Amino acid sequence: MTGKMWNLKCGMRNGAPTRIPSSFSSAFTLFEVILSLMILALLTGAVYSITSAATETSRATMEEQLAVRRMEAFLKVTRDAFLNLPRGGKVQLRFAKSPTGAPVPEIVFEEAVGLFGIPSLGGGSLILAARPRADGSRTMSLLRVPKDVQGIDLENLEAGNSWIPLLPRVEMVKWSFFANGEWKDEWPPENGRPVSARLQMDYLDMAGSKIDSQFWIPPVSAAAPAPKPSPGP
Amino acid sequence: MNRTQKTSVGFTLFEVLIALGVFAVAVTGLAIALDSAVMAAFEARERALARVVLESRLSAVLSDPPLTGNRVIEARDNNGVRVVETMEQFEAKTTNGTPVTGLWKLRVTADWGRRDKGKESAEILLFRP
Repeated sequence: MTGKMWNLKCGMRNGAPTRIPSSFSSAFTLFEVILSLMILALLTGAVYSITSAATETSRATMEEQLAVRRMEAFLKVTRDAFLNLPRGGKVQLRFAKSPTGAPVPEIVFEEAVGLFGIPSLGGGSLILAARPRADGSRTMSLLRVPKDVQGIDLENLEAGNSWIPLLPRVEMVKWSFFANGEWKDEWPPENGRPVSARLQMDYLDMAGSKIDSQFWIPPVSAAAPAPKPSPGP
Repeated sequence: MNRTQKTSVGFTLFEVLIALGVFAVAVTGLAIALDSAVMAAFEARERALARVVLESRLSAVLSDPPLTGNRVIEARDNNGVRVVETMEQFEAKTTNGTPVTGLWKLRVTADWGRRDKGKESAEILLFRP
Protein backbone atom coordinates (compact mmCIF):
# COMPACT_ATOMS: atom_id res chain seq x y z
CA MET A 1 0.00 0.00 0.00
CA THR A 2 2.58 2.57 1.06
CA GLY A 3 4.97 1.50 -1.59
CA LYS A 4 2.34 2.07 -4.14
CA MET A 5 1.60 5.50 -2.69
CA TRP A 6 5.28 6.53 -2.82
CA ASN A 7 5.51 5.27 -6.32
CA LEU A 8 2.45 7.17 -7.24
CA LYS A 9 3.61 10.38 -5.63
CA CYS A 10 7.22 10.53 -6.59
CA GLY A 11 6.97 8.58 -9.68
CA MET A 12 9.61 6.34 -11.06
CA ARG A 13 12.60 7.78 -12.78
CA ASN A 14 14.31 5.51 -15.15
CA GLY A 15 12.41 2.71 -13.54
CA ALA A 16 14.13 3.03 -10.10
CA PRO A 17 12.58 4.54 -6.95
CA THR A 18 14.18 7.89 -5.97
CA ARG A 19 14.73 9.34 -2.46
CA ILE A 20 12.63 12.23 -1.41
CA PRO A 21 14.69 15.41 -1.82
CA SER A 22 15.72 16.62 1.65
CA SER A 23 14.69 20.20 0.96
CA PHE A 24 11.10 19.04 0.61
CA SER A 25 11.01 17.36 4.06
CA SER A 26 9.12 19.30 6.73
CA ALA A 27 11.11 17.98 9.76
CA PHE A 28 14.22 19.26 11.58
CA THR A 29 17.48 17.45 11.33
CA LEU A 30 19.13 16.08 14.44
CA PHE A 31 21.73 18.85 14.26
CA GLU A 32 19.08 21.56 14.23
CA VAL A 33 17.26 20.05 17.19
CA ILE A 34 20.46 19.75 19.22
CA LEU A 35 21.41 23.31 18.34
CA SER A 36 18.01 24.66 19.36
CA LEU A 37 18.08 22.65 22.59
CA MET A 38 21.48 24.08 23.43
CA ILE A 39 20.29 27.63 22.77
CA LEU A 40 17.21 26.96 24.88
CA ALA A 41 19.41 25.61 27.68
CA LEU A 42 21.64 28.68 27.52
CA LEU A 43 18.68 31.06 27.61
CA THR A 44 17.06 29.14 30.48
CA GLY A 45 20.33 29.20 32.38
CA ALA A 46 20.67 32.94 31.88
CA VAL A 47 17.09 33.61 32.96
CA TYR A 48 17.46 31.31 35.96
CA SER A 49 20.66 32.95 37.14
CA ILE A 50 19.16 36.43 36.77
CA THR A 51 16.00 35.41 38.62
CA SER A 52 17.89 33.74 41.44
CA ALA A 53 20.19 36.75 41.74
CA ALA A 54 17.16 39.05 41.91
CA THR A 55 15.49 36.87 44.55
CA GLU A 56 18.66 36.70 46.57
CA THR A 57 19.11 40.46 46.34
CA SER A 58 15.59 41.19 47.49
CA ARG A 59 15.94 38.72 50.36
CA ALA A 60 19.24 40.27 51.43
CA THR A 61 17.73 43.75 51.15
CA MET A 62 14.77 42.79 53.31
CA GLU A 63 17.04 41.23 55.92
CA GLU A 64 19.20 44.31 55.88
CA GLN A 65 16.20 46.59 56.39
CA LEU A 66 15.03 44.37 59.24
CA ALA A 67 18.49 44.52 60.80
CA VAL A 68 18.56 48.31 60.47
CA ARG A 69 15.16 48.62 62.08
CA ARG A 70 16.14 46.28 64.92
CA MET A 71 19.27 48.31 65.60
CA GLU A 72 17.44 51.64 65.49
CA ALA A 73 14.72 50.33 67.79
CA PHE A 74 17.31 49.02 70.24
CA LEU A 75 19.20 52.32 70.26
CA LYS A 76 15.92 54.20 70.72
CA VAL A 77 14.78 52.21 73.76
CA THR A 78 18.26 52.44 75.26
CA ARG A 79 18.42 56.21 74.62
CA ASP A 80 14.96 56.62 76.14
CA ALA A 81 16.01 54.55 79.15
CA PHE A 82 18.92 56.88 79.87
CA LEU A 83 16.83 59.98 79.13
CA ASN A 84 14.06 58.86 81.46
CA LEU A 85 16.32 57.70 84.27
CA PRO A 86 14.47 58.96 87.32
CA ARG A 87 16.02 61.17 89.95
CA GLY A 88 16.71 58.33 92.33
CA GLY A 89 17.72 55.92 89.58
CA LYS A 90 21.21 54.45 89.65
CA VAL A 91 23.36 53.21 86.79
CA GLN A 92 26.11 50.70 87.31
CA LEU A 93 28.42 48.77 84.99
CA ARG A 94 29.59 45.36 86.09
CA PHE A 95 31.13 42.35 84.44
CA ALA A 96 29.60 38.92 84.89
CA LYS A 97 31.29 35.74 83.73
CA SER A 98 29.86 33.69 80.90
CA PRO A 99 30.00 29.86 81.14
CA THR A 100 33.16 29.98 79.00
CA GLY A 101 34.74 32.59 81.24
CA ALA A 102 34.39 35.57 78.90
CA PRO A 103 33.37 38.82 80.56
CA VAL A 104 29.75 39.84 80.03
CA PRO A 105 29.27 43.60 80.38
CA GLU A 106 26.07 44.33 82.28
CA ILE A 107 24.42 47.68 82.85
CA VAL A 108 22.24 47.66 85.93
CA PHE A 109 19.47 50.24 86.21
CA GLU A 110 18.43 50.36 89.83
CA GLU A 111 15.28 51.95 91.19
CA ALA A 112 14.32 52.85 87.67
CA VAL A 113 10.65 52.92 86.90
CA GLY A 114 9.19 51.98 83.59
CA LEU A 115 12.36 51.91 81.49
CA PHE A 116 12.37 49.81 78.31
CA GLY A 117 8.60 49.75 78.54
CA ILE A 118 8.73 47.35 81.47
CA PRO A 119 6.51 48.32 84.41
CA SER A 120 8.35 48.60 87.68
CA LEU A 121 5.86 46.63 89.78
CA GLY A 122 7.29 48.14 92.96
CA GLY A 123 11.02 48.64 92.61
CA GLY A 124 13.58 46.15 91.49
CA SER A 125 16.18 46.65 88.79
CA LEU A 126 16.79 46.04 85.13
CA ILE A 127 19.92 44.41 83.72
CA LEU A 128 21.01 45.12 80.16
CA ALA A 129 23.66 42.54 79.30
CA ALA A 130 25.60 41.44 76.23
CA ARG A 131 24.92 37.73 76.65
CA PRO A 132 26.98 35.21 74.71
CA ARG A 133 25.33 33.12 72.00
CA ALA A 134 26.23 29.68 70.73
CA ASP A 135 27.87 31.10 67.60
CA GLY A 136 30.30 33.26 69.57
CA SER A 137 28.53 36.58 69.10
CA ARG A 138 26.47 38.37 71.73
CA THR A 139 22.83 39.28 72.19
CA MET A 140 21.89 42.47 73.99
CA SER A 141 19.29 41.19 76.43
CA LEU A 142 17.24 42.60 79.24
CA LEU A 143 16.32 41.01 82.55
CA ARG A 144 13.90 42.35 85.11
CA VAL A 145 14.90 41.54 88.67
CA PRO A 146 12.10 42.03 91.21
CA LYS A 147 12.93 43.90 94.36
CA ASP A 148 13.41 41.19 96.94
CA VAL A 149 15.11 38.51 94.88
CA GLN A 150 18.49 37.67 96.34
CA GLY A 151 21.04 34.90 96.73
CA ILE A 152 20.29 31.61 95.04
CA ASP A 153 17.00 32.90 93.66
CA LEU A 154 18.85 35.73 91.91
CA GLU A 155 21.41 33.27 90.48
CA ASN A 156 18.64 31.05 89.18
CA LEU A 157 16.89 34.03 87.65
CA GLU A 158 20.08 35.18 85.93
CA ALA A 159 20.81 31.68 84.62
CA GLY A 160 17.25 31.09 83.50
CA ASN A 161 15.21 31.89 80.45
CA SER A 162 13.74 35.17 81.66
CA TRP A 163 16.07 37.27 79.51
CA ILE A 164 14.36 39.31 76.82
CA PRO A 165 16.52 39.46 73.68
CA LEU A 166 16.69 43.00 72.30
CA LEU A 167 19.42 42.93 69.66
CA PRO A 168 21.04 39.71 68.43
CA ARG A 169 24.42 39.21 66.79
CA VAL A 170 26.63 41.93 68.15
CA GLU A 171 30.30 41.72 69.05
CA MET A 172 32.97 43.71 70.90
CA VAL A 173 30.47 45.38 73.19
CA LYS A 174 32.07 48.16 75.19
CA TRP A 175 30.39 50.60 77.52
CA SER A 176 32.00 53.75 78.81
CA PHE A 177 30.79 56.62 80.92
CA PHE A 178 31.58 60.32 80.86
CA ALA A 179 32.02 62.36 83.98
CA ASN A 180 34.36 65.15 85.09
CA GLY A 181 35.70 65.60 81.57
CA GLU A 182 36.88 62.06 80.89
CA TRP A 183 35.60 58.70 79.67
CA LYS A 184 35.78 55.80 82.08
CA ASP A 185 35.55 52.12 81.23
CA GLU A 186 34.33 51.23 84.71
CA TRP A 187 31.36 52.57 86.54
CA PRO A 188 30.89 51.19 90.04
CA PRO A 189 27.68 52.11 91.87
CA GLU A 190 29.37 54.68 94.12
CA ASN A 191 30.22 56.86 91.09
CA GLY A 192 26.64 58.07 91.04
CA ARG A 193 24.98 59.52 87.98
CA PRO A 194 27.13 59.83 84.84
CA VAL A 195 26.83 62.75 82.41
CA SER A 196 26.57 60.50 79.40
CA ALA A 197 27.02 56.88 78.43
CA ARG A 198 28.58 55.48 75.31
CA LEU A 199 28.04 52.12 73.64
CA GLN A 200 30.48 50.79 71.06
CA MET A 201 29.88 47.49 69.28
CA ASP A 202 30.09 45.68 65.97
CA TYR A 203 26.73 44.74 64.50
CA LEU A 204 27.11 41.54 62.46
CA ASP A 205 23.70 41.76 60.75
CA MET A 206 24.87 44.97 59.09
CA ALA A 207 28.11 43.48 57.80
CA GLY A 208 29.92 44.16 61.06
CA SER A 209 29.22 47.91 60.96
CA LYS A 210 30.73 49.69 63.91
CA ILE A 211 28.03 51.26 66.05
CA ASP A 212 29.18 54.07 68.30
CA SER A 213 26.35 55.75 70.13
CA GLN A 214 26.29 58.19 72.99
CA PHE A 215 23.37 58.57 75.33
CA TRP A 216 22.69 61.70 77.28
CA ILE A 217 21.63 61.39 80.89
CA PRO A 218 19.86 64.54 82.06
CA PRO A 219 21.55 66.01 85.11
CA VAL A 220 19.58 66.12 88.32
CA SER A 221 20.74 68.44 91.02
CA ALA A 222 20.50 67.15 94.55
CA ALA A 223 18.73 70.30 95.65
CA ALA A 224 15.96 69.96 93.08
CA PRO A 225 12.65 69.45 94.82
CA ALA A 226 10.87 66.22 94.18
CA PRO A 227 7.96 66.69 91.78
CA LYS A 228 4.77 67.37 93.66
CA PRO A 229 1.62 65.59 92.70
CA SER A 230 -0.53 68.00 90.76
CA PRO A 231 -3.44 69.34 92.78
CA GLY A 232 -6.71 67.71 92.02
CA PRO A 233 -9.35 69.53 90.03
CA MET B 1 18.22 21.91 -6.65
CA ASN B 2 19.66 25.41 -6.95
CA ARG B 3 16.24 26.90 -6.52
CA THR B 4 15.45 24.99 -3.34
CA GLN B 5 18.76 26.15 -1.75
CA LYS B 6 17.94 29.79 -2.47
CA THR B 7 14.52 29.64 -0.79
CA SER B 8 15.68 27.43 2.12
CA VAL B 9 14.05 28.55 5.38
CA GLY B 10 16.86 29.71 7.69
CA PHE B 11 17.72 32.90 9.56
CA THR B 12 19.97 35.39 7.93
CA LEU B 13 22.97 36.71 9.80
CA PHE B 14 21.16 40.05 10.15
CA GLU B 15 18.16 38.45 11.85
CA VAL B 16 20.36 36.54 14.26
CA LEU B 17 22.25 39.71 15.11
CA ILE B 18 18.99 41.61 15.73
CA ALA B 19 17.74 38.84 18.01
CA LEU B 20 21.01 38.76 19.94
CA GLY B 21 20.92 42.54 20.25
CA VAL B 22 17.40 42.52 21.68
CA PHE B 23 18.39 39.79 24.13
CA ALA B 24 21.49 41.71 25.18
CA VAL B 25 19.47 44.88 25.80
CA ALA B 26 16.96 42.97 27.92
CA VAL B 27 19.67 41.27 29.99
CA THR B 28 21.55 44.54 30.45
CA GLY B 29 18.37 46.21 31.66
CA LEU B 30 17.81 43.48 34.22
CA ALA B 31 21.43 43.66 35.37
CA ILE B 32 21.22 47.44 35.78
CA ALA B 33 17.98 47.10 37.77
CA LEU B 34 19.64 44.53 40.02
CA ASP B 35 22.69 46.72 40.50
CA SER B 36 20.61 49.76 41.39
CA ALA B 37 18.70 47.69 43.96
CA VAL B 38 21.98 46.67 45.58
CA MET B 39 23.20 50.27 45.54
CA ALA B 40 19.94 51.47 47.10
CA ALA B 41 20.30 48.94 49.92
CA PHE B 42 23.89 50.03 50.48
CA GLU B 43 22.90 53.69 50.59
CA ALA B 44 20.09 52.90 53.03
CA ARG B 45 22.63 51.26 55.33
CA GLU B 46 24.94 54.28 55.08
CA ARG B 47 22.04 56.59 55.86
CA ALA B 48 21.02 54.50 58.89
CA LEU B 49 24.58 54.55 60.22
CA ALA B 50 24.79 58.30 59.64
CA ARG B 51 21.54 58.76 61.56
CA VAL B 52 23.03 56.81 64.46
CA VAL B 53 26.06 59.13 64.38
CA LEU B 54 23.79 62.19 64.21
CA GLU B 55 21.72 61.15 67.23
CA SER B 56 24.84 60.15 69.10
CA ARG B 57 26.49 63.54 68.47
CA LEU B 58 23.27 65.28 69.41
CA SER B 59 23.49 63.53 72.78
CA ALA B 60 27.18 64.31 73.05
CA VAL B 61 26.88 68.07 72.43
CA LEU B 62 24.34 68.33 75.23
CA SER B 63 26.96 67.35 77.79
CA ASP B 64 29.96 68.70 75.86
CA PRO B 65 28.87 71.70 73.74
CA PRO B 66 31.27 73.25 71.19
CA LEU B 67 32.06 76.30 73.31
CA THR B 68 34.26 77.87 70.63
CA GLY B 69 31.20 77.95 68.39
CA ASN B 70 32.32 75.38 65.86
CA ARG B 71 33.64 71.83 65.93
CA VAL B 72 34.36 69.52 63.00
CA ILE B 73 34.87 65.76 63.18
CA GLU B 74 36.42 64.50 59.97
CA ALA B 75 34.97 61.50 58.17
CA ARG B 76 38.05 59.32 58.52
CA ASP B 77 37.86 59.50 62.32
CA ASN B 78 34.14 58.82 62.40
CA ASN B 79 33.17 55.77 60.30
CA GLY B 80 32.99 57.82 57.12
CA VAL B 81 30.58 60.42 58.46
CA ARG B 82 31.72 64.04 58.64
CA VAL B 83 30.12 65.96 61.48
CA VAL B 84 29.99 69.73 61.92
CA GLU B 85 28.69 71.07 65.22
CA THR B 86 27.88 74.71 65.70
CA MET B 87 26.64 76.66 68.67
CA GLU B 88 25.15 80.12 68.41
CA GLN B 89 23.14 82.42 70.59
CA PHE B 90 19.43 82.02 70.15
CA GLU B 91 17.30 85.13 70.22
CA ALA B 92 14.05 84.59 72.01
CA LYS B 93 11.57 86.85 73.70
CA THR B 94 8.97 86.18 76.30
CA THR B 95 5.36 87.06 75.59
CA ASN B 96 5.78 90.51 77.17
CA GLY B 97 8.81 91.30 75.02
CA THR B 98 11.73 90.85 77.38
CA PRO B 99 14.63 88.95 75.77
CA VAL B 100 15.50 85.54 77.19
CA THR B 101 19.22 85.15 77.78
CA GLY B 102 21.23 82.00 78.02
CA LEU B 103 19.55 80.12 75.19
CA TRP B 104 21.88 78.52 72.68
CA LYS B 105 21.06 76.78 69.46
CA LEU B 106 23.11 73.65 68.91
CA ARG B 107 23.14 72.37 65.34
CA VAL B 108 24.70 69.09 64.26
CA THR B 109 25.17 68.42 60.55
CA ALA B 110 26.30 65.06 59.24
CA ASP B 111 27.32 64.39 55.66
CA TRP B 112 28.49 61.08 54.30
CA GLY B 113 29.08 59.07 51.18
CA ARG B 114 31.09 59.86 48.07
CA ARG B 115 30.68 63.42 46.77
CA ASP B 116 28.71 64.26 49.93
CA LYS B 117 25.75 62.27 48.72
CA GLY B 118 23.87 62.40 51.96
CA LYS B 119 23.37 65.25 54.33
CA GLU B 120 21.20 65.52 57.39
CA SER B 121 21.09 67.93 60.26
CA ALA B 122 19.38 68.34 63.57
CA GLU B 123 19.25 71.12 66.09
CA ILE B 124 18.33 71.52 69.69
CA LEU B 125 18.07 74.40 72.11
CA LEU B 126 20.24 74.41 75.19
CA PHE B 127 19.79 76.61 78.24
CA ARG B 128 23.21 77.60 79.49
CA PRO B 129 23.14 80.87 81.44
